[in-house]
Amino acid sequence: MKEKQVPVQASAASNVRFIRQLFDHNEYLVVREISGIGNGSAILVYLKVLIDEKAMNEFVVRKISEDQSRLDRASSSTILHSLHTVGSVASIPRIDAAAAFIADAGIVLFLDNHPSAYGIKLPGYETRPIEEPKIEVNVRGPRESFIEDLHTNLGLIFRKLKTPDLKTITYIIGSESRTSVTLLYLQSKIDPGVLNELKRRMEQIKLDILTVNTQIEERIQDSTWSPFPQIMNTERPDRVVTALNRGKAAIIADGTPIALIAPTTFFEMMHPSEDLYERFYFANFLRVLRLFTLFVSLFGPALYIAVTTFHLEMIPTPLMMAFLSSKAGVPFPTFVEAILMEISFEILREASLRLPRAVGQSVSIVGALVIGEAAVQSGIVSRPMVIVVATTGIASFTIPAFSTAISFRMLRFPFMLLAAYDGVLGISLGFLALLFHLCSLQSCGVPFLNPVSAKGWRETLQKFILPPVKYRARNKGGS
Amino acid sequence: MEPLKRSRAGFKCLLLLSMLLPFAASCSPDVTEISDLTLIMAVGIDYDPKTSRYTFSTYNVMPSSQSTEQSAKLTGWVVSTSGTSILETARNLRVLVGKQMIWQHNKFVLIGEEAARHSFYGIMDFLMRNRQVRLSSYLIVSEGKASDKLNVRVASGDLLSNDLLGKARNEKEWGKSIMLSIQEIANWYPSSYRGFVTGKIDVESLPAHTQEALSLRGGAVFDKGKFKQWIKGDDVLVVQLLSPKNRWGNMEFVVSIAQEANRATLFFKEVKQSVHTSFRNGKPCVDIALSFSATMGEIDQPVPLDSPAEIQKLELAASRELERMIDKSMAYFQRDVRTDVIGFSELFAQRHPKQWAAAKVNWAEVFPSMPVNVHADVKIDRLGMIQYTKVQANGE
Repeated sequence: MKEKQVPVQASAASNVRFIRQLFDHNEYLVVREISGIGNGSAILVYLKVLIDEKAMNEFVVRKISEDQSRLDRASSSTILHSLHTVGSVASIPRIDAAAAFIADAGIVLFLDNHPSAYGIKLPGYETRPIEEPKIEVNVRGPRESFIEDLHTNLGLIFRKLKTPDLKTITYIIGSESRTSVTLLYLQSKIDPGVLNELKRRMEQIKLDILTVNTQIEERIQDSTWSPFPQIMNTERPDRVVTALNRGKAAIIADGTPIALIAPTTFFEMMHPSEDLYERFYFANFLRVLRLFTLFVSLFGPALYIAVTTFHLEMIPTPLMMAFLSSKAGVPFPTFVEAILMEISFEILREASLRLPRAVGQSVSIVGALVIGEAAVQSGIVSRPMVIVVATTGIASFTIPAFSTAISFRMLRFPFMLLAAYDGVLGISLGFLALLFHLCSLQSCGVPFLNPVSAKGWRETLQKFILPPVKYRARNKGGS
Repeated sequence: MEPLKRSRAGFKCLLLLSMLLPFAASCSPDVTEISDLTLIMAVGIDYDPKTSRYTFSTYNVMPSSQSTEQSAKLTGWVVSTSGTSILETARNLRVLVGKQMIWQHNKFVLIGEEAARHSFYGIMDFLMRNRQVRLSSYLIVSEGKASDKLNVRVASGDLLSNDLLGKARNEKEWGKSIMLSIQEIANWYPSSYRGFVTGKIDVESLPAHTQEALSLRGGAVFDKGKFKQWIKGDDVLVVQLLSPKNRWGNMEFVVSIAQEANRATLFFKEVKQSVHTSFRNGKPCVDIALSFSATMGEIDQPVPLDSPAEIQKLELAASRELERMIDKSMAYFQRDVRTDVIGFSELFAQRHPKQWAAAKVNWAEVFPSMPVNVHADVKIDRLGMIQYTKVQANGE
């Protein structure tokens, strides 16, 4: 929409004409003239698909007509007065702003001889109710997740942080979509440097439409080419609240049921909010377990290839005998076998994700049968390979941050190549390169591997191990 | 700035391409696929002094069929060839085996009696030079030809290598067999003062069957880098008891003790060992003190075990029995075998370097007459579940 910078005219009719021009070929634009006004006309303009028309008739139009009949005096100022009693009225001095207001579920009142138009928001579109989290499921934590409506999402956070210290900055992003994006932070907790950097990056975003906040993420992240996401996604309000309390900022866009949290470190992505709700023994056990599964999901097939093709002496003899008997008659080299299985697994995963849920399950079963049993029976792959690929696949699902898990799944392939070329040496070199890359990454100026600091292992360990709640720092979920 | 950026980008592309190029050549030429392998699990080396030819036999394990319906069964088969040198003979095996042979999982090196007697140096040299041979493999001397032992069918139907490994593990439960690794032998065999005892492999007929089984009973004595003679299981047990702790730490053995009209059999575990060496009147002397803990295993007559005096008596009898056993073996090593299989010479060299310098000159004469005093102290810890009371002992 290329609005003209036209101020609101004295004549309501000419203002409406401008609006009609702007909303040309839009049959849902409604123009209603309020009758019985002495000195000039009063016209309500709105898009009927966006606003709650029933509520408008019940509250706005009825209030105006009741006031008119009670006061027995029909003037534009009484209408305006009536409007003020219904809700918060915005004064709109320009036609283009009025058009934008209408497009954002607003009703605009044009009055003759008034320097501005008056708008009231009355959104009437349908939204989804608050549901249980679908991705970040947990056992003991709260069971509410964000929805697509920004106001509801903000309400979920404000309800948990009842302090004036919680600040918001709202940006309108997208020249066409004009999507509201809110940046939240706790004034007393956030590092001003990080806040300023975030603000600067947010202000630089230039888009036509903003449909999902991944577009924001891609524009404000530090490294575009890194396979790792440097900004955390979450669908859980409790996670956002915890993050805000730890001095981070959250970004919530209208229309996306996912909040972004910045800055984020690698280990925060590895720790789901569930950790704070479980007893610390179990939470720490899970943290260590997740590090192990991370290792398995990244190196599982690569290590299998390296050990069975380069370092046969590393395999204990009984295991070697088991490998020997199961590999008999398999026509492919181990590397090709691994690649085949991994790709089949990824296809299966993608298929079961994209298909409707009921069909998706049957795809998983058929796929598991095909890959697991038929492939072995027909001698295309060996049994240990099926075990390795299945273990790796399951291990990758334990990584709580979905996008991080995807990165690791992707990186498995280059590691397999390195293993096939150079064995464990290749894997070590690849790991070194990966470590260099992770060390060089930053999230809004904060090192991505933050707790692994130069201050020594003791502090690193303290940050990784979750102490009992009594001994926890206040911002670590202790209070 | 612009050309610099462009050249940097070009360099990155080149680096990436060069990293990917090796993959075009179907990964690496160093790759060894498991399906192309056969595992060498045991090796037999024989030598014929008349013809000066070596015979090299390997016990190989590979899947028996190419059936993929289920995991293929592993079978072992023996292949032998001969040649003028060990290395050449080992290489000749390639002609006879259609798979790539790998040595890394080899656990046993069997050496024929003749080979151990006449060309042990050459064999040890070959084993230690070959990078694929694990130094942790056991070196065992075969009574007769080593290749015959590899061809013995295991009665249980298990692989020969698994059978041997199980028997080697059983060593700690009776102590009458001994397995030395190539590494341990490599440390000792060049010494001109001390000898050592390694495993002996023989074929024994199973009593109830016509079948034969491999047996590791007894040991082979090496002196001055050559096989000298066989020793019996009881002597091997004494060698184990007087060896460093890693040999006897987990070992349990059984000895029967005759006491008056009774015979009791006890489980023994060595708990402490002290070997004191000294020079008395310029002559070397060894005092050995051993402590054992014992558990009652079997009694053939009722004994009043609730009486401390009775137990003390039994402990004393056990101590005397062990001392007698060790004394007998030591006398045999000193006077008949005439080889320092325990390694006293090393202790003298370490603890009394000056006196040793004088004594080592005629060590061969000094060793057989060297006094070795053994003191054993047995403590019976557990009497077992069944307690014979005085009443039962009196037959009431």
